[in-house]
Amino acid sequence: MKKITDNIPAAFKKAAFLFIILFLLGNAPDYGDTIVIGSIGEPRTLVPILASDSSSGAICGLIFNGLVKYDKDLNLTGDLARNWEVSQDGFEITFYLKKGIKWHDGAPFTSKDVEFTYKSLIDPNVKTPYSGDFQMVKNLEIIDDYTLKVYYKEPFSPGIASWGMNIMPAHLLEKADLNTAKFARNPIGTGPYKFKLWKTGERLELVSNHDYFEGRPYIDRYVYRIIPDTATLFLELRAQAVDYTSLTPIQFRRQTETEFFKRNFQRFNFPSFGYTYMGYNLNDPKFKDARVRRAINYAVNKEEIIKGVLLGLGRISTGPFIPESWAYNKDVKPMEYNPEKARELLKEAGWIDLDGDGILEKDGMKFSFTVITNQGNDERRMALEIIQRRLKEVGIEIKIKIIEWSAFVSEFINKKRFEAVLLGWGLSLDPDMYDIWHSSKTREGEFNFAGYSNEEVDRLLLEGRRTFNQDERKKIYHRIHEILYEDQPYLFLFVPDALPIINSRFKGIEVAPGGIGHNFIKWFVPRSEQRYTR
Amino acid sequence: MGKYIFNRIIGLVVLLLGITIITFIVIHIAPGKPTDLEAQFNPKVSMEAKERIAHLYGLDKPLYIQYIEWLKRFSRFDFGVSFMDSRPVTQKILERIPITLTIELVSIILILLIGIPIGVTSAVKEGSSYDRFMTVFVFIGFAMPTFWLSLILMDFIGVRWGVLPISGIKSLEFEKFGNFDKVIDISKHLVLPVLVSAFGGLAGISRYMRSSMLHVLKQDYIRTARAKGLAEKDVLYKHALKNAFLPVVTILGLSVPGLIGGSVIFESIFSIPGMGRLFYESVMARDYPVIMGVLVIGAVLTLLGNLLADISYAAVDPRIKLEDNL
Repeated sequence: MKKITDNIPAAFKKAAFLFIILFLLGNAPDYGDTIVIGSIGEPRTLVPILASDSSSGAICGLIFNGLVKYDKDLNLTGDLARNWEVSQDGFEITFYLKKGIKWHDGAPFTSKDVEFTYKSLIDPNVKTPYSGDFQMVKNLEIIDDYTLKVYYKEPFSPGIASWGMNIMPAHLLEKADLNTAKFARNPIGTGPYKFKLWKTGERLELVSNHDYFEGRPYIDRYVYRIIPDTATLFLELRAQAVDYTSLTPIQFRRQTETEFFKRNFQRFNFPSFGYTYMGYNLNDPKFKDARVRRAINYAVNKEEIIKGVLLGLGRISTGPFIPESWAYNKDVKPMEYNPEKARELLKEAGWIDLDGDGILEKDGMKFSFTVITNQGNDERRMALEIIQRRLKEVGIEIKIKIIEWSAFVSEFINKKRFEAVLLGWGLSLDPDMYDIWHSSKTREGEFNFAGYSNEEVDRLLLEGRRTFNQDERKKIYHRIHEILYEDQPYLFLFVPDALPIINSRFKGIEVAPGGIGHNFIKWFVPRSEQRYTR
Repeated sequence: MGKYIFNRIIGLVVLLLGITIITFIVIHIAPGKPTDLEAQFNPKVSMEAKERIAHLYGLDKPLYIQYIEWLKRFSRFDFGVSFMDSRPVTQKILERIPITLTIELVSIILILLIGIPIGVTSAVKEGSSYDRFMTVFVFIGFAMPTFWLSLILMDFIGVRWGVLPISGIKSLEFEKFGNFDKVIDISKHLVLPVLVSAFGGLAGISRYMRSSMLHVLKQDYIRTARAKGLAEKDVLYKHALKNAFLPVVTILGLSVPGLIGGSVIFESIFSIPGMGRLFYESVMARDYPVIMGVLVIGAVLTLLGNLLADISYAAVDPRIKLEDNL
């Protein structure tokens, strides 16, 4: 695209550049104003270790901190911890905490708070869904107020990232029952924003923490409005009563392509932390042969799905890692769309159309199967319709069945009553995928519901958990990526883009591999454009 | 009479018990579990953790024991705590009732104020072009999808003209307003929802009113009144209208339980934190204590409504006698 600035003489450009620098120097970011977030979901609880939904997570993330966090380039860095050390044998991690951090009520933050959070996580009477990673901890020892040692039962490298869990104040919760504590709707944290109010079903409000250890956030007030209907949410956005929300591909490509939106809003698109796939039930005789699964990969045109379903706002996925992370093997190239090759492979595997009805047969069985997916996700349904058509061209018939989420999980996935599923995985930033791919994780309710089993992958997954050095881990996960794409236990489809839209009065937003949230406390509104000044 | 009421109340308790048993069984045998959490898998949530949560909810016990435990709590008027956020069910329901009740009440009043005159005048001018126009008008309101009409109104009145707020029930600055401004603010937010909900309800009342009025106008005593030489105005509004009201009052009585029911679509579109949304969200999350709470309160209100209707019928209509030996 040609920019207007290309036509401006260089000298003039230089002058303009200087002017802008001067302008910026004279205008340090202003404090003030309110950001209004529009969300379709309402948080359930603000006790961070009990919160399992994304709304609760978003709010808790502003009120609390973990010991560690991911920076904008997806590398682990200290948050409440200044730094940490892993012992030579990998059995011990020592955390050195930052000094002088205070809870919102003024009490000092110390290692006691970390110990308390850990004890709550492993307490069998606390309804936390996150106990898993902490069951690997043998013992936690307080050295002094700002140093603590965590002893593991065995070396566990994802353990470091697990300390990104939000830390809760011991002095307020020690004597309370966490499950029913009033704290859930009146939390006290260490984070950049302090809790102010929560009107059920309407909104939550936070105010900036002037004493935040990374500096006072520029935006004074954070309002989280609950607007359960997406059409209403879009109207509120257009009326500028909402400043920040996420768009759907169709809203991004069509409805916000107007002069009005371009003038008043800034839109972003970058890969989200998740991917969509079609998973096979590998215990089903039809899918036992890897050639068949590879044939399906050749027969499905992923580009076409991204264009049709996401309107181009996504990219092809070849493996189960975040595309921008170090674990993702960029050398694994997606197989091209090639129905000819698909037919060959199917023939090799013994699938031939004997009765001439257009559907392949083998041993008297037709190549026809049902793919199930969950209700309420149009992208998945549309992707399936495209796959259906492409597979028909190579002689495979699929039927589509859509089921309400909770029933879908407990009756079909957990009980393995499916031939194939179309689903998505949201990914945590640590690449450990033990729970999804290890052959031991196939019991009812566990996540290897495809029933995948590969000795090398099993070994590598364990090795990846025991290795702390990132370069060595990188090799391990790159190899896993390769094997998985070769084996095709899933038909990896796409990584959809995240599509946030933000009112253009907010400045200082920076897109990085980690998204845009990483420097939220640096976002600001110039005084002249501030809207909420009361 | 006293004994009759006593017997009826005993009957109601038994009936209520039956309702709770059936409801409890039905919501528990519906597929899905509260521990499925959100509409996305999280690999960090292990199966052991889910089992632990199910145990803490008491979901690993046999169904009849779960029911008995529920019943024990219920007998103390305790509905337990929600699975979603561990808050008392009673509190969750009580905080939702006022807004739903307000909207339903205001819109019923509006429906009566507009629907009854429409019905009466249509009956009086039966077959006229006015009558036909009104018929079409109220049926458009009845047939038009709520969500569509709401969105269109929001787009024009809220976005393009900016006259009224689009959704929600309070402004962001609500806490800083004085009392008078607070009332104005809430009223502004309620204009659209009340209008939309009233428009949809016009057809029912106005059609009942029309047919009831037509029926009455064909009665002998109306002919007598006219023969007496009474002014047409007196015939219509003194003699006919009073009698035509009776069936409408019955219809109104039936709508009482609906006052706190709310509507999912409607409350979602306008972002109103009412009962409809609470119930829907609880069903989606398989939040059994809240589902039971909402259903039982609905059942109690319906049963009480019926009882009151029966008693007041007996009091009003001399043709119905409540025998003490019933």
